Amino acid sequence: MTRPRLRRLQLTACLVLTLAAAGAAHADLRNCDNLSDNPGDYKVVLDDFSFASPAAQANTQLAALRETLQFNFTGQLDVLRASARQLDRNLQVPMRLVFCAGRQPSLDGSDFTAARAEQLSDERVVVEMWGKLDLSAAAGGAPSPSARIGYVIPPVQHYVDEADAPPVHVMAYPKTGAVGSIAELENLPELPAFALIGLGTKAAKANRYDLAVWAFTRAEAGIADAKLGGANPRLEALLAYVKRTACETRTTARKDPNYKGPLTLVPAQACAGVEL
Amino acid sequence: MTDVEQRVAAVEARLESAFALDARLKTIEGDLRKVKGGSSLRDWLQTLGPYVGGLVVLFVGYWIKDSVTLALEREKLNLAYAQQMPALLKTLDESDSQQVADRNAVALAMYGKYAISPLLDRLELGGDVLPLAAQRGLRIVGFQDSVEACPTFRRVINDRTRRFKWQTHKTLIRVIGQSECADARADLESYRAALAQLGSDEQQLRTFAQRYSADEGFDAETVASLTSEIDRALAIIEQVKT
Repeated sequence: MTRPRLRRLQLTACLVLTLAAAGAAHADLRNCDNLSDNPGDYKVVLDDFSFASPAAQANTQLAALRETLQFNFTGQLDVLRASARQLDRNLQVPMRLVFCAGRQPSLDGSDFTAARAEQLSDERVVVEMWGKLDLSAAAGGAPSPSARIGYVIPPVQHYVDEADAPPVHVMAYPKTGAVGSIAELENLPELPAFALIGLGTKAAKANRYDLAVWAFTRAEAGIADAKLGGANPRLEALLAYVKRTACETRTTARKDPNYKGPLTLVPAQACAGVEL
Repeated sequence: MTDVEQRVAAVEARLESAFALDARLKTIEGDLRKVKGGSSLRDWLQTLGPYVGGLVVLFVGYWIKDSVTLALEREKLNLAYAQQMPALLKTLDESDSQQVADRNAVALAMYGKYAISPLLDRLELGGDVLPLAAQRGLRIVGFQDSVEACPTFRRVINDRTRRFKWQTHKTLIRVIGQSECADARADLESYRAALAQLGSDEQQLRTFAQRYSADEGFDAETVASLTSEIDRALAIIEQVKT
């Protein structure tokens, strides 16, 4: 077969596959132009929530949830910044919230392909969150808010094998055994923990060892808190990754001749099996 | 001798003289032909001159008419594209899923080299859906017509005027590899060498990043990411060459 003919065939196959894929599925995933603002900052992306029913959409508490989350998470970020500064005056946590209006990824996280993870990681997104809100009524009781919230950690998805550290987590609220309450939805303790894991992963890749180790250490506590809601093997795997990577980052810092920070004072530690 | 006989004798004498003159003329012409050695270019030019002139005028006239017609057709095509592309770009920008964005970017890519600038602009917008679709579109343009596309792709990665983000450079490096732009090899090697000298020094990184539209967020991770993209592109180009 001649080369131009082969090229034509390849092009045709490419077009057919594209058009076939286009017809196969439809997800409500809009571009988030805001991501390119503040290119030096790490970003926590909050998508638009979808509602499971008109009743849920009409519920004022649920409708205002995004704003409440924004307020609460901005507060949590401030606490993180203050805590980092307390540890080291030079330790900056350049992390900000970004809202993506109209963006509603599929609930199972299947929109987050490897290519998208790389793109988001390059845009310095450390975590993206989306979800579906509902009102579920217990037997004979008043309807109470419930939700399925998804989180993806793009740097982890891009750099780490999924078996070592699952990057997508979809969680149901209220958690099993917990009392159903809007308060739980308004705080989402997992969000800062996942954001810190993404931040730590990117900071380690950028040789910002102090920030990476600090983020991993804070994330470890957050994941441990999240595990209180019940056994979750995916969270266990993520926790193991956090411990292992924190140890590896300390080791790399000690070996880096350009690094003169406090991690050089930490005694050497074997990282194999540290997650156990 | 009678008068008639005298007159006949005179006519015979003149006739003989005419034959003698004819014989002399033929001898002279034969000698002249020998001296000249056949017909000259000048003879040919004199003979064919009017025809050649006519033909030259005909061809020049045809060429001028052809060029003008082509230029007019090109302008008509540009105008048609300028009228059709905005609608397609609007649809691309408003895509509500990756599949729809990809489909619109593929349709835009069918305009060939004319689609490169709007697709580059979508890369610059940021986000994920549009840049991923734009990348797909640019890959198709490069695949269809690498002769026209590769020089533009190379201009992007060699740009020092702060027009493009580092992410756009990265995407174009990838597309250069996928489009088998063999002429970009030296550009890629030079880019890789410049990155290799940077290390983790903040000041050096900031100075280097001044070639991009935003110098914030350019760190050791970015350097590693660009370097591995260049390595992949060079590997493809090398593979195609062999």
